[in-house]
Amino acid sequence: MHNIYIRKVEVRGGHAQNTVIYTFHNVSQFWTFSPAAFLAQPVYSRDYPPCRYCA
Amino acid sequence: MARTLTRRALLTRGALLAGAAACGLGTLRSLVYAQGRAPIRIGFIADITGTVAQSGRDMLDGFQLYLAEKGSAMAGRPVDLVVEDAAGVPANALTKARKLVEQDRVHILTAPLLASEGYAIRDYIAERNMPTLFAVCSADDLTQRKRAPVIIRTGWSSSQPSHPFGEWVAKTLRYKRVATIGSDYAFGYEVVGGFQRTFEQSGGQVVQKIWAPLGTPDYSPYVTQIRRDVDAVFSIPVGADAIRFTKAYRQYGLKGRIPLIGGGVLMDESLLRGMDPADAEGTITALMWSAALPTPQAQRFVAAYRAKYQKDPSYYAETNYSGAQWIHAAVEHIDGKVEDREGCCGPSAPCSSPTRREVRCGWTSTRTSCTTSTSAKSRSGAAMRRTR
Repeated sequence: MHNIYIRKVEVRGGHAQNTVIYTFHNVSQFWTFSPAAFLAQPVYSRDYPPCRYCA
Repeated sequence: MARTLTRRALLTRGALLAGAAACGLGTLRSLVYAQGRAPIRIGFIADITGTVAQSGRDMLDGFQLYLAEKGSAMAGRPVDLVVEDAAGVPANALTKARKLVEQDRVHILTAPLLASEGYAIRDYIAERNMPTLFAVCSADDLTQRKRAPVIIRTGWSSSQPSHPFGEWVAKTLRYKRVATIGSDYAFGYEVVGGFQRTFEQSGGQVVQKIWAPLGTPDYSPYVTQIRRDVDAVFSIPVGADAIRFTKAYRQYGLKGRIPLIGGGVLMDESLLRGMDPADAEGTITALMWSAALPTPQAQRFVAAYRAKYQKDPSYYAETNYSGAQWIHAAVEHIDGKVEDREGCCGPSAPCSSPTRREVRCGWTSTRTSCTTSTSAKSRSGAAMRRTR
């Protein structure tokens, strides 16, 4: 479980840094999904999830 | 058990001891106490050549910084760090793992950098019952469908940051249509897949998916394929590919026209150093680390790392520094008896990341990894809290 930081690259004095603009606290690898339901899905791959909106 | 000490390990240990000499009398005291006791051998598979060399170097630097701070000793025993370079090649990673386990007889192994390398060594370390720390290698299934008792993940799963990020991009940035371009192997699939899943669940649409091989020398053919009628491009190249991709993204006029977002390693500090700041500026990514984190723990680590290496610590460095601390905590918990495989992962000894703070669990009684041992209930309702 981790905090997940949303970072935006800012350049200050020529130095690029990842400035934290938002924090999600205590994020599990299953996010808000039920672990059982998550694990019942296939692992993410080249074809999963399928690209339903690709022309 | 016969002791094998490679020349590289000898040099590494020598360097650590030299570094430790500057750390004060307390450290020296532990060093003196550790003399004469059999060393704990840690096998460290690094990718310090090849496409991901800069990031791989940071992994080693982070781990060695922690060892130097502790006088290269744990539980009263000296530590031998045996380093092997797999160069980012899965077949090499398996070969090096076999060498470290069977020839060097290491007590603990650390996994290499790439997800594909992690999958390559998974069956071997499970068969050999070799406790292995996964501080960087983030292949999802290693703590999901292919988890094993000896896999200790103190790092992350590839799709873990992508899930909240996909939702955030849809709801906060209000992007509707996104094109993705990812590295064409397991890590790329998992980072893009996690993003796509929650982005689309939140009302967004991924309208194009492009894959580029790891080690792509020229991103021109890929950047020119990107659709111009999207709200943003989500990207996850790895290693030096990130530098080449962001360069091409600006050269072909997309920078400033289509916002660039992506997985955290796109803008990792190990790569930011090599980028033109103009290529990187404004890019938004998600990860569990930033060298600009304002927490006291993070700032103390950043200062120590900068002092020793004269560069910003990347996530690769931070998570290996933390990983070394986890190994240390585990070794102390079993009074240094690392030869006792059955007792190595007894009752939970909770510790937290020195830098990120909110890694919660320790080595559990069931010897499952950190991330799989957390309950769904404990995270519900606590996921989103604004910090600034």
